[in-house]
Amino acid sequence: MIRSIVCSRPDGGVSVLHPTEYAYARTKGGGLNLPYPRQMCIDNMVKNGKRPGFAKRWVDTAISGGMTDAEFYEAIIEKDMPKNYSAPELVSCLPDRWFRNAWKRSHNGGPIYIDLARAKTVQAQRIDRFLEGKMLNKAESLLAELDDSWADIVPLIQQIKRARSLEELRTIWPKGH
Amino acid sequence: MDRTLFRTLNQRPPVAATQAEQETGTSATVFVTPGRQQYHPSSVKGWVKHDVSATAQATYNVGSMTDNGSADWSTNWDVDFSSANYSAWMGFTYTAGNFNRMIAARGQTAATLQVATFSTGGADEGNVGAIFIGASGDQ
Repeated sequence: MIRSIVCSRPDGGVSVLHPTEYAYARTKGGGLNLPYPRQMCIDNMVKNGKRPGFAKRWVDTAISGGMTDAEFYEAIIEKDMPKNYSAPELVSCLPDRWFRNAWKRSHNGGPIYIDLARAKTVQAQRIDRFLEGKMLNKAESLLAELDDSWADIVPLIQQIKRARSLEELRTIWPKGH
Repeated sequence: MDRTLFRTLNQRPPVAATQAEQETGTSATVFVTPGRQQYHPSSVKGWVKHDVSATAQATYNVGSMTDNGSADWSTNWDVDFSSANYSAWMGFTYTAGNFNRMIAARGQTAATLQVATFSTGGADEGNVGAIFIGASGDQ
């Protein structure tokens, strides 16, 4: 089973990297059809900010595989973890997502904890969204009450279609209004 | 097709498209092989189906997914695009309740595409099931 990688963000929050089966398989066994010749792929990665040595290693394993598990996780961290993130660490399980935006972690690593002040904001937002949904439901029921009025519109549309003069057209109007 | 027939018709046997021919995408005389199909400008260069925790169910050319927070995910391409000028599209399944979410790209580099789902109150992953991402462009 491929493990996830937690890392600490500069804002104190937590990001989680999930390496894919696709990358795992090709770094083990190679066989990838590169879109350009090897050196162009390496140059492209360097242009996008990767170290030349790393770019070479990443591209070569695409062709021939051969990475160990430890090398694979190190490569994913180097390739996909932003440079200003810190303390990457392999994990097998993560907290429940209910308070996801309240997750915090030390810049030096360690366990993920939930910040109460942030969690209060998360919960308030959740309630706000729930009530907003309730209001939408109310609005829908109000519209349903108006449906009877819409029934009058169909014959009016037919009258409009059949109207042969401006004078006749102007006389077409909902009854009682 | 039988080689004898080609000799009879005084034609060359069919030739596989080179990578350059596939990238140019204009030849009507060479044929496409599976190993070079993806070099055509119209082909999809990467795709993923993942859930709200950024766990991928299926991918092509995706090295990893990043869970940046609630309703905020990054797709990290295995082989990068040549620049940030590529096209991407995204969608998601909705599991219950009022359909008042949208999905949008909120960041794009040659190596990464960041997307988020929103409701009127801001970033919101509630009732979002699977997220679908695809991208085409020059690698």
